[in-house]
Amino acid sequence: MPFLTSITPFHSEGARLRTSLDSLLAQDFGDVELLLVDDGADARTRAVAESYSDPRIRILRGANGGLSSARNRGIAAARGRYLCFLDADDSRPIWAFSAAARQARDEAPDLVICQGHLAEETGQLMPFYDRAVLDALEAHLQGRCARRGAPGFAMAQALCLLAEPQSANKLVRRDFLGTPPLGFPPGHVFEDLYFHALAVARAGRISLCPHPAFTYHRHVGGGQLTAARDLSRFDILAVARLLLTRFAALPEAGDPLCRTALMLALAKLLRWCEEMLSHPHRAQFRTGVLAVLALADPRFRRLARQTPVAFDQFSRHRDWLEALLCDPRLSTTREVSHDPIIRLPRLWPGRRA
Amino acid sequence: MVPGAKGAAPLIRSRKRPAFLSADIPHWQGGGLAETLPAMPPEDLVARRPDLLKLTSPGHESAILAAFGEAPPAFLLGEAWTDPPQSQLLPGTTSVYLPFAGTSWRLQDTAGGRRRGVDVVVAMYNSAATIAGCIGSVLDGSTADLRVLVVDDGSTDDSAKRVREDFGDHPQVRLLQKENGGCASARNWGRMQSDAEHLAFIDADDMVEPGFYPAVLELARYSGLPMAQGGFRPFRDTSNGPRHEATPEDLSHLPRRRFGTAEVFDIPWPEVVTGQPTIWRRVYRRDFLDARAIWFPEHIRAFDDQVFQLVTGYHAGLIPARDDVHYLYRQHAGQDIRQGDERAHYSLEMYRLVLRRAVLEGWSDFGPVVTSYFSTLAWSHAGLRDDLRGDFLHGAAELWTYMRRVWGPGIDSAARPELLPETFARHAAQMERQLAGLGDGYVFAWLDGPALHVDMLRADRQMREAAPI
Repeated sequence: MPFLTSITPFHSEGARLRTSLDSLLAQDFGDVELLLVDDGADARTRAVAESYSDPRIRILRGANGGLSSARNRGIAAARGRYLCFLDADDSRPIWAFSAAARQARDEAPDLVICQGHLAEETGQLMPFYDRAVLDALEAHLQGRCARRGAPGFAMAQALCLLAEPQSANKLVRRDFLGTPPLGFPPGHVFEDLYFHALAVARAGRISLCPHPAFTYHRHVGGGQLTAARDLSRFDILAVARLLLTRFAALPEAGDPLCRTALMLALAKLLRWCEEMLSHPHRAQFRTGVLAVLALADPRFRRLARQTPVAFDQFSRHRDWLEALLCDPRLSTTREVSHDPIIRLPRLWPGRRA
Repeated sequence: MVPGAKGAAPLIRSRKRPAFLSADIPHWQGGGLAETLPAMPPEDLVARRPDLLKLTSPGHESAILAAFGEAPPAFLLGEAWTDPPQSQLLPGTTSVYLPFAGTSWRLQDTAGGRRRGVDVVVAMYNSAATIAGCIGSVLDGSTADLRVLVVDDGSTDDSAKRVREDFGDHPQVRLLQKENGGCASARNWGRMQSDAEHLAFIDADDMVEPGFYPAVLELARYSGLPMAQGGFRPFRDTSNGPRHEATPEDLSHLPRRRFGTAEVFDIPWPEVVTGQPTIWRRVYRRDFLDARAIWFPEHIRAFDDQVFQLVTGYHAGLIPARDDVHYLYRQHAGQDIRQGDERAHYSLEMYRLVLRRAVLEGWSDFGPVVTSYFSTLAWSHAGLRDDLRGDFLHGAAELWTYMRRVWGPGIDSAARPELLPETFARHAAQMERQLAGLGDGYVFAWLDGPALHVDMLRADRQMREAAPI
């Protein structure tokens, strides 16, 4: 059983996949299994994947089911004690596995969260977006592993929830995922927050790897999902609904700090999606956000009044969220007839949709 | 009056086709009328080695083409009247314009650069007991342009050995092996390996009557439509051999017409969509599946055939069918869809996928899908374990609320909530109350719930059982 399984789905990344695979094969940590999940890839990308012949590499082939299903297939096929993910157009510095594994070896945490890099196409390297939050986490943990039940654990969870939900930024202990394993919501994009938040909420021990362990490459040329302006953005609504429903069943939902961190992280994503969306879809998107809030456990509408300094950079998102929570459409308690199927007024009488 | 027409044989009136040729006159099939007309023996035709042949010989079309054997004329014109020649008589080098008289059908090449013929994909997982019977029945009465692609989905028994032993050197059988990934992944895998113009999917424990797929392929070829369908008949294994049961569908209301020795009829898509999933008795145009991006969803481990049926059905629009040949559908106790566990929730996720697809693709009518949804719910609920029913109705009501919010209350006329317990309506009403301030809209096709995902549901149930609150 290898110590680590790294899962990389590929679809149409073409030559970029080479950057990613080369960085994985160059790691100074050998006890690793590299799972490449062929998610209905195009011929060019598949040729890149198949051009490698390394005993560490295993290719799983399937039809295009989306990134989430592909990662889930990777999770199901993984054999390592720990799992991590790397998208086919990102990369890792050579010390990534050894640095993260060092954190994992000592106390066998369920989750190791890692710092990361952001790389521009020009080659410029910068700290990843969540540097400040993870710095606060580092200061909070003082090099120790946070344990459930010990003081300060909720604070550690809250800071992790505020971190960017990047799939590459963590090592997850495989057994901790359970059976059936916690995975990504199939059929949806913007899936990272779902996995990230539920893993953080369920973890019993959390460590931080202070060394940057992944490099997210920004591509100006487009093609990345993060540049999408279309209805794929609506998937964040499904992800939010799934996440809030499942999170509500966990004790963390009762903790004001964790709950607030989750809502702020979610607000940031929702707001980003709304602002990226093409204008004709925005009114519907707003309806969708309100629907998610209306259907969610009412506790999620109550944010903590006092929050630590690290939360301050989310103040814009908090303002946005609080404005939404005051939307009159949310508080409407119009009396609805008991049986909606029969007695609601027909808006379009006689018309079959 | 038509010469030879007897009794009250109904005439099917058609503007294009002379009435006397539309009459149901069985003895024509043997060439009775044609023999009374002056005719040239096929051998004389062949001896003249024509470059161009114009067929106008009711009752003799197939015989004439068969006489040409491997070297038919370069150009084939005319029309088929009573006896449409099998398309496999024609190699790809012949240019054909041969309409089936009185219809818009004609023998045509839909290959689009692919191999002419049909690949029958068998998804095989631990099917050692039935696989030989399955493959044998497909080959029985088949034509050379049919191939069987057996996809071994990581079987742990000796299924693959059985295939190799029985069909190892058969030119029409190919065995493909892959890691286990579920039935949907095996079917997709077979499709990805296929180079044929048409595809069919058979289950490894089923069989077909001799010549089933070639007969349905003819229909697909002549009509040129996205998919064509044959009949089916359930059967059970008994100690005295298979016991066939009556086909549980009634299509007698659809008008029929002659197609050679067969009767054919067209099924409108709502009937396909609201019917039982029977994807295996159909032959699909590969370019249709590709163009519409219709795949089996691989993470759905049961009911993946239903999403396929709904989407192919809608997009095909009109489905030509014949029921003189049958797919034999084995009934047995171990059928996974009948086990009554959480897998019933796969059907919820599946309908959600269809809902989103329908919105994105602008489906003109979602009513038939709703009708199908409610019959599936009723059927699944009836077979479900008692302790799972609450979650199931919850998820079902959630998705129904989304459907209703997307299409507006006008969709209610297609719904059948009376098939379900009152809990369903209560859950739906509760959700409607929560959403009372919000209008309808397509955005609801993007909402979701953990009860629509089997893995999430299982995990949540485990958590609830581990720590009862």
